[in-house]
Amino acid sequence: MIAPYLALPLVIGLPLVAGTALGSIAGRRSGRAAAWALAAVTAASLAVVISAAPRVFTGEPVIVTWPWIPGVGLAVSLRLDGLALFFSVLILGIGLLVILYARYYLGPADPPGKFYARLALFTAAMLGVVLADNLVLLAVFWEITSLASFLLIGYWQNRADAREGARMALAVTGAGGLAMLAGVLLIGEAAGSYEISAIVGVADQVRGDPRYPAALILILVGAFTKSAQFPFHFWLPAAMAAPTPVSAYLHSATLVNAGIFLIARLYPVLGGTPLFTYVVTTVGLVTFVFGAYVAVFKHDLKGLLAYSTMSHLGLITFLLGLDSPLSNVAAVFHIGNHATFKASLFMAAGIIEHEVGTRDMRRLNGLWKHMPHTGTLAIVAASAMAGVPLLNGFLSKEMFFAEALALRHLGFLGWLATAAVALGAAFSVAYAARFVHDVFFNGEPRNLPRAPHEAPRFMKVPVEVLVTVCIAVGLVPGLTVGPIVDVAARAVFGAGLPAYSVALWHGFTPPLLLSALAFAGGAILYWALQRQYNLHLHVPSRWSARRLYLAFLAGLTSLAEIISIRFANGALSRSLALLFGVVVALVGSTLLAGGVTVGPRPFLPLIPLGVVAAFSLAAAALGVVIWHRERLVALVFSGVVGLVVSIAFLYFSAPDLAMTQLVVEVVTTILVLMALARLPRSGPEHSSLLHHGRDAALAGLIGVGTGGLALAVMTRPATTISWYFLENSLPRGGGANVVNVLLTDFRGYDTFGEITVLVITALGIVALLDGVRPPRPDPDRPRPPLLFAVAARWLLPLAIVVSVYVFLRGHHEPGGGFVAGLVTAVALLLRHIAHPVNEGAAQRRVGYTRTAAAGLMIAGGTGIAAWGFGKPFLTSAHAEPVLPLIGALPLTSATLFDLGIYLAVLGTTMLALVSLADASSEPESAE
Amino acid sequence: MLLSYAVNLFIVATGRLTVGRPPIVAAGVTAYADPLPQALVLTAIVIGLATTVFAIVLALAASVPSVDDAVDVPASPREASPRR
Repeated sequence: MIAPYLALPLVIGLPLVAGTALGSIAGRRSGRAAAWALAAVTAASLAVVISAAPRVFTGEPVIVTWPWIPGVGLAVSLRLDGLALFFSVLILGIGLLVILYARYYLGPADPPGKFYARLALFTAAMLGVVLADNLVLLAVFWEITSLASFLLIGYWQNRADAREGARMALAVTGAGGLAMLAGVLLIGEAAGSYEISAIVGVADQVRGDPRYPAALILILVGAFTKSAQFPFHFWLPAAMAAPTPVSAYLHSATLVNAGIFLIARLYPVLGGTPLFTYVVTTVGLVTFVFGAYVAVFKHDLKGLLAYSTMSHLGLITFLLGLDSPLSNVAAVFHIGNHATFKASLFMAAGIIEHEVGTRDMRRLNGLWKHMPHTGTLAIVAASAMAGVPLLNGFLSKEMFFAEALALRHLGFLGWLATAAVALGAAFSVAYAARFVHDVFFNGEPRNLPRAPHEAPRFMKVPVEVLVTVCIAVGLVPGLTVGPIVDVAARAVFGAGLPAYSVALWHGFTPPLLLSALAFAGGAILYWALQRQYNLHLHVPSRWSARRLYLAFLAGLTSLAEIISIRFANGALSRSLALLFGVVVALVGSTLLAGGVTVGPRPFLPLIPLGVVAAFSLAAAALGVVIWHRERLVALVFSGVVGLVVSIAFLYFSAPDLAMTQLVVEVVTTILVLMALARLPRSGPEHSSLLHHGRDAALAGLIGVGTGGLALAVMTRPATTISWYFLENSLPRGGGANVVNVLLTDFRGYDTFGEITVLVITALGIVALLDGVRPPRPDPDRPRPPLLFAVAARWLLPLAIVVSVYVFLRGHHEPGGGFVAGLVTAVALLLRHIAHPVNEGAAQRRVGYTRTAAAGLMIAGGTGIAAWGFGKPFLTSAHAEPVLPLIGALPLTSATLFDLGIYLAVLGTTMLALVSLADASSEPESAE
Repeated sequence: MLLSYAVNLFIVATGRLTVGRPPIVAAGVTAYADPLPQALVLTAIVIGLATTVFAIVLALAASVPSVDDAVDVPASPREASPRR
């Protein structure tokens, strides 16, 4: 006896973890091993469920709750009550039989591990759906079943119809799942909790809530997509491209029952209102009649069974929609019966396909002589489907007819419903007759790919088991399924289920008459179709929901294409114009609506230098725009802008920024100059006058807007968190330069990311310039002047000293790793230009890449070293050892981090500069 | 590039402009410039350098098969060069 808190998670966990793992591992050895492994896991799960069953039969459900994400109301709550028990036994029992069947069905070319692992995943997810007590958890498992179904339908992934069927199933059930989630959220809001146990208690409150109709419709959409009800039914026939074990398991017994399970599970909460009754019964009835009608005309064996499944699910939905207590009993009963005979019929169809090679009923005729055993089983199962007495289908159909006939007292709509039921019943008999007659009798087989013969012994065992169940339940229902159906129905309807008897013979009642009528009508219909209409020549009509769906998808795709071509046609300036336009529209409208005013803070005094700087900045920026086609001129103006910005930084108390900006400006200018050696010196005119006007207007608006925004921001007071850094920089960070301490210590992780970007840039440059050949050199090219060469030679050691000085003083004065790295890079570049070395360009590139990488590793190592002291990543330490001659020497580990930054910056910048210098100079002699 | 200059200035300006009080801790000084935007902008300047470098190298690598260094790629084969 396993404790309940362990049992329920085990039921799901066994297939989820052990099943998938063992299935795929054993699958590498052989299909037999994988089948045995998964069968063992499934049997264990079933044993756990059965061991927990006795408590359920006493009327008290087993509930287990573990918190998961309390903030969104998601908890792992599992509940085993009558309905869950019924479904769990169904899922696991039929699962076992499907595994046995699949072992013989899968051919030598089909990878077994993949199949059984996906099957295990599906079983676990389906069990999760039926056992979940938390609605959000149910939604999670619901989506996993959709995903597992997609994987299983697409198992033969080299077949186009399998891929299309899998995609369609996923799209439809996925969309339904989304709707269901929305409905679940609404119900949770209305009830105040996502636990079904709690929601049932406040059911009246939920039904009276204004959100109830929306929630109901959304959840019903989810249920109807999953259970292939009209008009969401078209994915089910397409899913018949799956291997037959999958069809027998998912698309007859378990997955398609998930939608019905949801309606049954939420019936205490959602049911009982007129909206529920009308919608559910209408959809169910329409599906019942429509599915049965189409099934008669299908030539594909599995297609007939698919539409028949749809029809029976419609029947069950109709029963659930009716508000009478006995209809729930009938619904639950029929769920079990349908699963049994439908799974066995699918398996029989699979056997026929496996042994004969085709599923086309126009060619499969007269197989009775060749496979009598399979034929007997199939005929019994089909009879159960048609509702022949002494089989389980008859019993639940009787109850169904009783409920339908009770409607005829309810006025015109009731009569209509009853008539529709009768019609659908006749069609059901007709297609069952077609299945039996057209496959096993009706002449001789035509053009069969293989000679028909019986299936292997053990492949028929699952079918035998299921057919035996059909017969047993049909003969003695009270003993076999009576108790479990009872406890399941009570879980749906709650207390107050009146006494009933599921007996074999109720006397000459109206339902019996209706049965007889349906039989007669169906038989006549089939005979007429075969003889008068010549059924085999029937061609299905061009209109179907599937075509509508595909047309809808095609329309959606072409719409997306049209929009993309208009907006993202590849021209950068159009994309930028759109971006800026949207920014202007959104931000501008918000600012204008809110009213932007100048704030209270006083203005700083205006100095003459400031005026000059501002004007030169504006003029230079305009210069860049006007002369943008003359690249050198634009570069000069851009440099002016950068210099003015640097002076601005200096004036407004940002010395570190000023230094960095200055050096970056120098490096950028050198880079562009070197690139211009290869690139054209002036560009062609790309845009027309209209585009210029558009761009100018946008730019003007953006400038004015940003300026106004900046003014508004700067004149308003603000509280910041900088006081923390200012106070703690010296005592805890060991440095007086707060900006540097911020970069290497407080916000070291951001800087670590930044040097990672630098190293990535370096690698990108190496990759981009990998195959670029430098051009043929101009023989009249001037060599660097002698003065320049001599100056460069003396400049380099000086620059190195300056760079080291700047690096070391960084922690207490303006400076730091960035500036130092850039200064060294410029000095090294001077030397490289002055004394160009043509050989070894590749080695140079490798050397600088390694430098950059070394910088990254040192920085990372400094951070990781903190773990050795039990501190989080990048915690720094500082000390002040007193050395004999030097005195107190302030040391911090952040300096090591700064060294990493230095090397990374140096490596990347040198790599870029040297690569460009090489690409624009003479070619290597060795190449 | 011009855009990154502008954005950097803007971010520094959100720290409210102060003159002559760099964020270097010294005895006797009470008010400092806001160091946090400056640290952010320093990172931005360096990454801006990396981006500029990459863009220049990209232009160079793209220019190798042809003389025109335009980076506009037409989205549909019908257009030789897309309309701006």
